[in-house]
Amino acid sequence: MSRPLLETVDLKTHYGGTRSLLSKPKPLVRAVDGVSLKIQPGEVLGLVGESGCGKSTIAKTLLGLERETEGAILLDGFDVGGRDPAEARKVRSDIQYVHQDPGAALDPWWRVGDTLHETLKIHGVSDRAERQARILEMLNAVGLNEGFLRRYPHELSGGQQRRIGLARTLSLRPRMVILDEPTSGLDLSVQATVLKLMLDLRATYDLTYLFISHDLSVVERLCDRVAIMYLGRIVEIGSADQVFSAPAHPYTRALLESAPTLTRQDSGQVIQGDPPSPTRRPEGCAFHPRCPMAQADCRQSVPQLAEVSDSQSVACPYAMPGQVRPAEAFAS
Amino acid sequence: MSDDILSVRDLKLSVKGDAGLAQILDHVDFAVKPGEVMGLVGESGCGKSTLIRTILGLPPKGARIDSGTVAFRGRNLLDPKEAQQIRGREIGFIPQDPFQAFNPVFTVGAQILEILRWSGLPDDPKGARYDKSLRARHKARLIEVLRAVQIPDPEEALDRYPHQFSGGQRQRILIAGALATRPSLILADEPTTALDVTTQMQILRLLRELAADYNVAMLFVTHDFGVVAQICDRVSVMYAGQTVETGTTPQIIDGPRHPYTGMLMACHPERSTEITGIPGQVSSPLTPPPGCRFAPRCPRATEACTSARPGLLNSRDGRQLACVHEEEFA
Repeated sequence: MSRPLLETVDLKTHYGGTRSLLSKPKPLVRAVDGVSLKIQPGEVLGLVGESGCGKSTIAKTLLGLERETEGAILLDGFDVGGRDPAEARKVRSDIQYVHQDPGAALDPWWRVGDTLHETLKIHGVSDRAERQARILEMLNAVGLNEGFLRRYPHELSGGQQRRIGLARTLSLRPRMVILDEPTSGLDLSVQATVLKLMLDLRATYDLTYLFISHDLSVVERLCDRVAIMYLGRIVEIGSADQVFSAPAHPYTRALLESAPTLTRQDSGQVIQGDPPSPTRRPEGCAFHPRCPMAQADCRQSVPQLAEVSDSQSVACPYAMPGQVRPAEAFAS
Repeated sequence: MSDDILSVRDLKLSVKGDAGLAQILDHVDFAVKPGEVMGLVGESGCGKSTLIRTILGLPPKGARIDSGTVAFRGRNLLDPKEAQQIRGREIGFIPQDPFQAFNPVFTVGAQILEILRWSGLPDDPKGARYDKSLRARHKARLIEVLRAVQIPDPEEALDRYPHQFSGGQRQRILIAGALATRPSLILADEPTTALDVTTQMQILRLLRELAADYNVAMLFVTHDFGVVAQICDRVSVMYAGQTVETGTTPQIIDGPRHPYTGMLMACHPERSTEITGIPGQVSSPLTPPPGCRFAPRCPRATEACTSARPGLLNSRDGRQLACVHEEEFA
């Protein structure tokens, strides 16, 4: 296997937990709690989970907007972790981000063209002609014309705002793009065209995507591999085919069964309860209070990811009977 | 037809704004029968929200009804006085966002009891003053419905603040609030879009059970056909302010006949192998195209489509359809 473009080793990002003299101690939030990921060049890795599971914190940590508490981040084999945010952004400029709500990411008082120029200025492209050339190239790539540069954000539709968001990010010539819920809030017909555009752009510019979403049907059609997160940890990771056709972790199965399909799902167990808050993370496997197959040892120790096939790893000893022994999974 | 609980007939509504006269609704037409869950599907900007507000008797500012009727059991909802009597009593409402629906500084019990104080319950004694005993009756009813929506410890829940509940629980409390007055119709405006998938499925199943148990009809606004398949008995599809197709859920999902419904279904990730979309954009309500509003984006459009608005005709298979190309089969 080739060298991964981006690798994280046991990445942890915790918030709070500090005590100061006069204020109340803030609860410790383990937003990301030991995530190891390898993203190969050119692949689309989906990161799926419910709200509060730490998806967006991973994105912020990778970008350098949050500082990791522990663990390593390797970009192209080089260690880029452990730096303060300003420096981290510099060394990680190959990683860029498309905002979840690109409308909110555009200044309402600025014309789109000015915003796009400013982005490049901040990143040190001082020659106006070069900026203009790059911007026009990217506008063209996302299917918009020069006229959009003179428009204000409110004059754009939701789909056009996403396109501008993509153009803005791509004008920085990143190698890896983190897409945070890129289709949320879009209508079905617009969502389809935006997804198609993202696949086309990946092919044209050799991009690698980390695709954060809670929409399983979108992830299934767009991603090569998919990682399922629950309360700061990855509970299952594997090729999209494998995970969607043979989900192993009980949480993955519950997620897939809960996604509304075009036929009425009368049978099938709906998972009960709400995702617990990361401040009150259950002991052991975080999923055990909602898990239909929880055993005594699930309450005590945290199961580790273990391979169940070439292209699938699961953090549950009872997921695949006979394949992972409990003793093996709980060894940490 | 008189057994319809809600009927919207030929509703045409325009709103006068700074930019001119926007023709938001153009002949919207459908009906909800008692106890039935009716889906209302359309993309953003198709007029769903305006329609919901009009049914609640709260049309947007500057709105003008050009033609048509909206009736709840034969009573005219376009009359503000009549609508005020019905809204919140016989028609309940579940809002889209359970995170914004509550005031954070009051307990949920205080907030819902305050609503019940002004709406009253149908079994309140006539002309009674709002006193402790009436409040206690309201509280008892609220606890009863909170139990029905599976809120653990309902008595205690009343004294808690909104932030102490998760999104799914808040939505359950809002559903309880809507049910408390024993309405015969509930309007639900995308009640699950703000929720996670596992919670969404719980809420959908709950709504389905409640609709059956309490014999409440529901008008369920959504843009997600997956959600429609879970809960709706029938669906009405809107495009740019026009009703284009109404039929049973299987009819619309498995055999859409209007070109727009067909293309929309083809965009669904479950239905398409290749990622497509619908070319073009929704026309502006300020300058709607003549005739069928979908014609500029429709692959089957001909001259007939732009010359006159296709009427909503009853098809032989029971659905209503507004497309000149399907008229011969209607």
